[in-house]
Amino acid sequence: MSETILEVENLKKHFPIYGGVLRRQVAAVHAVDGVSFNIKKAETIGLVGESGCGKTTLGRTILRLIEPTSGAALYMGRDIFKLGRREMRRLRLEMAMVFQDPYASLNPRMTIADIIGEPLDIHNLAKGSEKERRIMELMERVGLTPYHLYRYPHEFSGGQKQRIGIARALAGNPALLVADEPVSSLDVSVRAQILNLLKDLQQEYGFSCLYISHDLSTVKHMSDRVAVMYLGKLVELARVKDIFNDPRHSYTRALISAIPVPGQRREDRIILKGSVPTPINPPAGCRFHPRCYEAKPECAKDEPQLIEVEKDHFVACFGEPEKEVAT
Amino acid sequence: MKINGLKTYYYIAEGVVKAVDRVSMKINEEEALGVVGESGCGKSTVAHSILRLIRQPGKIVGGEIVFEGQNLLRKSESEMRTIRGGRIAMVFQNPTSSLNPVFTVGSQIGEAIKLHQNVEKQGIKEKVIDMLGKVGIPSPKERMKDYPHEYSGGMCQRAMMAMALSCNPKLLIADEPTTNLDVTIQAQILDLIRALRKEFSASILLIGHDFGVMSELCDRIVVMYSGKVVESADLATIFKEPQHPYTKALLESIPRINIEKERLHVIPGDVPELIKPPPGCRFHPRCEQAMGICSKEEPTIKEIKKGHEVACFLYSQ
Repeated sequence: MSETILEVENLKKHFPIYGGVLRRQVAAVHAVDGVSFNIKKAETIGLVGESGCGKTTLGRTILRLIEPTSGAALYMGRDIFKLGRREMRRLRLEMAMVFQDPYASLNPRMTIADIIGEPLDIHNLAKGSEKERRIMELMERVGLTPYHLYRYPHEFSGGQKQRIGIARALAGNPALLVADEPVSSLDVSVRAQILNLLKDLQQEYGFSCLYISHDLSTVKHMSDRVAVMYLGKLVELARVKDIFNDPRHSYTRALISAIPVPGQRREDRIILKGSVPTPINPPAGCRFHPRCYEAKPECAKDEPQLIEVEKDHFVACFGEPEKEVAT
Repeated sequence: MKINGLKTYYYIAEGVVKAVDRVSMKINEEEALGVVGESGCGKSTVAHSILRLIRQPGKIVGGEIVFEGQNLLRKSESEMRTIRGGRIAMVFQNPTSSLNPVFTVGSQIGEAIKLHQNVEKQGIKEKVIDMLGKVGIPSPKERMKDYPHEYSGGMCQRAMMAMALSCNPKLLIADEPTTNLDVTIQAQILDLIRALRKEFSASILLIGHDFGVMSELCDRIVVMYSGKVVESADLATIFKEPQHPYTKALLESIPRINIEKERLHVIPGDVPELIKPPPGCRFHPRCEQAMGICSKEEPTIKEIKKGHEVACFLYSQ
């Protein structure tokens, strides 16, 4: 068993909603509501779910770009949420993020050299010619040429911007990379370039990756394990081949069957009714039960826990009795 | 519907953007045609040209669009207005912003019916309820009084479909109808379009970038690249025997749920800017099979097999 680099325990993030004359808190958006999982060294975990399920909030909370409501995230055994500002700052070198929108995540007034060099400056990693050498090396690694060095973000296409974002993330030599929908805003023919690049870089640098996306086909391509999220909770977590060949949760099954496959017309598709309920007031019991096509009376009362039904295959559904797990 | 040599250019300060450059295609009766391409390939401009919705600085500079035997480009603006939303209806990409936020959903659908059909007041209301029911809005009688913000994204798209189909159009243009929706909602909408297509027996022009969505609905596919049609064939042929190097490469570069692949095929470079497209074949700088002639001359589209057309020099001998 390889070493665990990040252990997330019962993480919750509720965004308060204020209302009334006194602006008291009247409700909360339960964006992430008790999520536990771990990421092992050099592994990619794919986090899938529909919009509003809390996957982005989860990714950002792990990096403490958003402060959690409760729970813990142990990075190499240390709880990230208990670290002071200076310690946290040091840790940011080891945990980097690639954002969804490469157009918005690069400062338009900084040159590429400044953008990629900024983490090196902040953490005093390199100065002068050494810094320049590092920047060139990073640019080359992500497929940019040195003459791009003193250009500004607007001179680049979407795919190239995403390469710059990746170079910046790699500057601190991270152990964990959170990639939030890194290709969803790119053209179809450019997506493959970025996906291949991320895979190559992971082989070379050996970082772990939390790959967040709503697109199951890219998640399948990128991940070793997949976590499926619905309304702030994980409903299934398993190795990629188990998720796709043997999905257990009815939501996962519906999600997989809903993907349109090029060159195929499927008539046996599972079509869910309605849409995702609001996370302000999630349904009681299993959060998926109002849309579930296999719901039983108990699903509306109790909340199923994420249990291991087979080795490394976790499901939160009453339809799955707990089995003896061979160890 | 037949489009012949359509040219739609945008005249901007930096020069002329040839968004659609000599594009021809036809849509048969009750057929669903899919136009696939990446952003900026001109697929949406084709749709807007059909309805003559091109605004300044854009202009349709050539070609003809023949619909039910008449050239739409020769029509006056008032004639166009009766065709738009009447014989030809359109569903847009972003359902939440295509509905007017200050009117109820029911009144907006009613407006379309009032404009194009001779129905009295009570009849309009009944028709609205009937249409909302057909597109699967629960309790349409109450929900017609709601404002668009009270609808979810999927429901807005259903309401748009109700509006589009309320006047029994002959042709429905759907521009990326599911792009902003979640997969499970996308599946619902695709299912709905399929069912409605049977019921209303309209032709469909579906515009999009997702080959998966296209396969669900279309009979024939037209692939566009940089303002040009590069290949067109029926659905099965496009996926089984794609001929144009761009179609081939694009199909290989998308990760698929049903095929195991360690690495994805990569098309090098970026989509060219339309203001100065590469000379010759516009795909040649990114093409693996490019030859000398490709950078000098522009290939014309030729039929290589019955119903299968390709614009590539590999097939022109």
